[in-house]
Amino acid sequence: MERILAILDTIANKPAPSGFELINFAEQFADTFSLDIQVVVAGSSIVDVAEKASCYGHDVMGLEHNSLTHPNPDFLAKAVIPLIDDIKPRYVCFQHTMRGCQMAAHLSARLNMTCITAVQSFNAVGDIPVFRRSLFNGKLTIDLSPTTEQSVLTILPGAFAPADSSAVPRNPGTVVIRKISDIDSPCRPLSMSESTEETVRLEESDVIISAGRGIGAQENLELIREVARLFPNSAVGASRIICDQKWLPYAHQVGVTGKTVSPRLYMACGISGSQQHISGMKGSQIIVAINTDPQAAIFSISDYIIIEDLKTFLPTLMQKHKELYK
Amino acid sequence: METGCRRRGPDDTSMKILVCVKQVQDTESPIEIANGGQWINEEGHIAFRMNRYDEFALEEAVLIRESLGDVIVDTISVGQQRSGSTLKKSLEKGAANGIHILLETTGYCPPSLTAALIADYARDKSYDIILCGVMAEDDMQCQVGPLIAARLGFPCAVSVVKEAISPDRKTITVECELEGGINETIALPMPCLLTIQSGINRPRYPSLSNVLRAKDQKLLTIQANVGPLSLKPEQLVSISYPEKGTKGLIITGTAEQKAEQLLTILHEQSLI
Repeated sequence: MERILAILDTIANKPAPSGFELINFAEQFADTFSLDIQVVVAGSSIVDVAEKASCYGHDVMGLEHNSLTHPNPDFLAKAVIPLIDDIKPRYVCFQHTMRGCQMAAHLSARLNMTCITAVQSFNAVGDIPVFRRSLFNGKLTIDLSPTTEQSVLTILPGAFAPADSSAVPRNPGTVVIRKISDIDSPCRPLSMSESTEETVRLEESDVIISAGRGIGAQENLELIREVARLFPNSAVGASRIICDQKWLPYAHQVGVTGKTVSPRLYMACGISGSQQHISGMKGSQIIVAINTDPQAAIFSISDYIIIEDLKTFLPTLMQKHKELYK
Repeated sequence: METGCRRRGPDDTSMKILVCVKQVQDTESPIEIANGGQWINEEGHIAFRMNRYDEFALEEAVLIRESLGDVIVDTISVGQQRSGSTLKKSLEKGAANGIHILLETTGYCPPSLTAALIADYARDKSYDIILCGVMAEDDMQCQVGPLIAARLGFPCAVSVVKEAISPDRKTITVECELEGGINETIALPMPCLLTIQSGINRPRYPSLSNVLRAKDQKLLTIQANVGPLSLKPEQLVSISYPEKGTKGLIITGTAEQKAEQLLTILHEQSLI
C-alpha cells in the first residue's frame, strides 16, 4: 500500500504543541485514499516521543542525531531525503509552522514535488485529492491539486483536532530508531531561549481576552487585564501587531506564528482578524468580537458581535458587571 | 579558497544584499471572483501595496547598510506591470536598485514559479545575503524564501527576529522565533537566505531625498523566462467564497444594553 509520511514537529526532544494534530489529518487522509501512515519524529534523544507517537497505532521512525537537539530544519529536511528515496511515500506532510514550511519547500525544490501549504481541509475527486486553503487573508478559499506523483503538504495548525489515542483501542505501532549519519548542513543551532513570561499559559486558559490594534495605546492594556480578571483561569492574548509594538511579550501572541488556542471563551478586542490570527483561535468554543469596523474579518467567525469602541465599551462592561454580579 | 562564482575583483569588496518584495492587495480592498472561478477581478478599486513582512526585510537590509557602510541593497519583485510601483516604494525606503521580473500572466502564481525566477536572476550576482519576508500576508505560503535557498544551495533560516554579522563578514548569527515567544539562536555561513519576521525593526517612512531619487530612477525590467524552468506546480481547481458558518449574533442597543446582554450571555454559559 502507498504511504503518507507524517513528520511531527519536535522542539528539544518534545512534541510541539500542535504536533499530534498532524496524525489526525494523516488518519483522515489515509482513510480516504487507502494509504498506510508512517510517522517520523526527530531529535537527539527521541525514544520517548517515538513511543508516545506509536500509541496512535502507526509505525514510527525516530531519527536521531546530535545536531537535532534544537529545531534544525535545514538538517532534518536533508536527512529525510534518503528516507523518501527509500520508502517512496505518495505524500509527505508537516505542520504549517515556519520550520515545517521551510522543510516542505526544501523537499519540493530538491525532489521536484508539488507543495501545497496551509491545508485546512481536503476532498476526493475520483482518486485525486483536492486541498482547500485560504487566500487573500481569508476572503476567499482556493482548491488546489498536486500534479506530481509524490507531493508535500503543510497542515494549518488548528484545522484538525489532535488525534485521540484513547478513542479506539489500538495496538501500538512499531518503533524504529535510526541514528543518522553526518549530513552536510552548514546551519548550527546554538541555543534556545525560554519564554520570557513563564506565567503566560494561553493554551491552558478557559478564557482568553485578546487585544489588537484597536486598543490604540499601551496603557489601554489595563482595560483588557481588568476584563480578564472577571473570569477564573483567564489570560491576556494579543494579535501580532501588539507584540511587534513591544506592548506585550510574544508569549501572548495568538496565531499561526504564536499560539494556537481553543478556550471556552475568546474575546477579541479591537482585532480586525488577519488570516494568521484567525487560524490560531477559530477553534474557540465561544467567540466574542468587539470592533468599531462593521466589516472586520473577525466578525465572520464570531458568535457574538459588538460594534463599539473597546476603549469606552470595556469600562461600561466592567461597570455593569459591578452593578449586576457583585 | 572561495568558489569561483563568489570571487570578485580587488576593488569590489562591498557586501550585496537582495531583498525580495511582493505586491499584495490592501486588506481593506473588496475582492470579487471572476474568470469563471479561476481568479479575481483585478480592475477597479483594488489598492496594491508592499507585503508588510517584506517591509521589515527591506528595513533590516537598510539597517545593515547603515551599520556596515559599503553595502549595496537591491530589491526584486516578480509580477505584472503594477508590481513596479512596489519596487519604486522600495527605492523610496532606501534600496539602491529595483529589479522587476515582469510576469504578464494574471491569476494564481505558484510560489515555486516566483522562487525559480528570482533564483535564476540571483544565481550569478554574488549576493551575500538574500532577505525575504517570513510570509506574504495574502496567502501565507511561507515558501518563496526557502525555495530560493534550496535552488541556490544557500543555507536558510526562517522567522528571524534578530541578526548579527560577524566582523569578518563570513557568518551571520540569527535568532529565529519559534511559536509561543521562544527564540532559537542559529549561526550560518554567508552567502545565506533569511526570512524576516515582523517586529525585528520599525520600517521607516521614505525620506524626501529618496523619494526624489526614486522618481527619476529606472527599474531594471526583465521579461520572465518561464519556458525552461520545467516546474510542476500545484494546479488551481477553483476559488470560492468561504462558507459562512452560523452567522454570529449582532448585539444591538446602547452601549449599556450591549454590555448587559453580553454579561447575560456569559452568565448563561456559566463563564461568570
